[in-house]
Amino acid sequence: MSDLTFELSAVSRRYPHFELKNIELSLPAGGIMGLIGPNGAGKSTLIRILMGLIAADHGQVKVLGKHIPAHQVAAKQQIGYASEDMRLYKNASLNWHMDFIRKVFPTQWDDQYAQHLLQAFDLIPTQKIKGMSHGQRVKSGLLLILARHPKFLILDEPTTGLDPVARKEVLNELMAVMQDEERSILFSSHNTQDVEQLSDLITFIDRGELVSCKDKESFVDDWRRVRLQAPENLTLNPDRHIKEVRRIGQSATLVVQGLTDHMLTEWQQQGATVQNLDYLSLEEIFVAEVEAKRQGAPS
Amino acid sequence: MNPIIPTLVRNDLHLNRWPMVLYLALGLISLGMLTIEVPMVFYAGVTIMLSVIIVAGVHMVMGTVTGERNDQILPFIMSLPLTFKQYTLAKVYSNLGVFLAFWVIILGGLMTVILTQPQIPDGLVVYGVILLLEMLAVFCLVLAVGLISESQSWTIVVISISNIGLSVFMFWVASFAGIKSHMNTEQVVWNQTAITFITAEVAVIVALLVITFLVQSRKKDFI
Repeated sequence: MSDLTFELSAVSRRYPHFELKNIELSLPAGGIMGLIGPNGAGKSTLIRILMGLIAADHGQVKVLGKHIPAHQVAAKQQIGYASEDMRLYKNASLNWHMDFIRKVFPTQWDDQYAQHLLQAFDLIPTQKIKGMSHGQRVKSGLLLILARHPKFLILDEPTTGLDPVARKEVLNELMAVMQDEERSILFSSHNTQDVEQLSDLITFIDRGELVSCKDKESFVDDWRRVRLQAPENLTLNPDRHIKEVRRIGQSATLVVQGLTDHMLTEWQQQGATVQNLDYLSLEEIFVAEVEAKRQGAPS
Repeated sequence: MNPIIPTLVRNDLHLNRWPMVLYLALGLISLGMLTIEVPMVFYAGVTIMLSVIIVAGVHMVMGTVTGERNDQILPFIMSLPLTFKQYTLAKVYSNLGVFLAFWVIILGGLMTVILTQPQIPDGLVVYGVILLLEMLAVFCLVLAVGLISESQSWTIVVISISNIGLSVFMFWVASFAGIKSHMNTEQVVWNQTAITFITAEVAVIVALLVITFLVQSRKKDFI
């Protein structure tokens, strides 16, 4: 058994108006990876390739040590997949679906945990899917995958469209699931708050290309917002460290990647005063990384 | 066989059981109407019987194949441990199974009515078998188009054309001397014309199923 939950090697997939390009990505067993990208970045394409729902044109895909799509049946025994565009049978009840999944995964299904999830998610098992709200449908889908304890959870935009209460319920349960260190999770979102809350590894994707993939702390440590009181003759231009410069008179705000003491000293020697040094939010880091990538700057 | 296949087949049967029971009841009523010696009731019975066979087939394909795709249930099914070929197999089993069961009951009932009712010439047995086999072939065509195209629109187009085709087919078959000359007699004659029709229909059914599996096996993308 591989130590990697999944491994994408040089994976590409071309569509008429979009291309997923040369993806190299892996997730260690037990890891939780958040996949962040704007709409149309390729998150869902990448996830569908992992699930064997679409085939890559080039490259190799391995999930839980199995080649995809050739051995997808064996891999999917241990994968729980939920996506924003996935629906259940509208004319059947949640109970019916639970019975269905119990039959498909007789040894994995945990009835006690399913009952716990019913309560935690405030769901009525006899209710038909067509009578449920969007939030209830999402929670029902999650119940069906969580109650069979898959080794690998793939969640494509699991919190999209949820109201704050339903979102909190889902995130709480996902956080409880994460206590199991054997379980790996990949989830995509354009809500960076959710990703920040849940992930230990974060991958940015944009226009079909990987922008960067690091652990959360590295991203946060790497980026600073520097507020300077700078004399007007001090030149501050974007370079490999300074990614953004905003200047109003003597007041300058810089977004800096890989800030060093040497840089601060140099500015101070040129007459600048450092007023503030702040961490960036994940959303700001994401935007900065994507912009840097789009401008061709080294990130 | 992947154990999910029978589970999926049972799901399709369970979710469509009440409409199918209703269609079967209507089919049986239509057969009953054929025994009444009033021409208008007889022709109404024939119309209802043919309509119910068409509707039952359409209901299964639209409900379990194209409807599942339109309702975005396919990603849920394909997230389970099965391949697309196995999914196709499950859909063919459930659709063909339900329709064949329904078709056999109607065919058996029709043959019984023709052979037991003195006012209906026994010679209609051959015509009835050819007609119902055509409807089975059309069902296989609709199922193939539904599975391969995954499009409700294309499936509806094929359903519409094949429905018009049924009337044309009825007149066309009845225009063959080998069929026409025995239709109003009391003898059931399986002559060369009838055997050719039946062989061609069975061949079309087999070809449609084979093509469906071949095309589905070559697909790379499932949603």
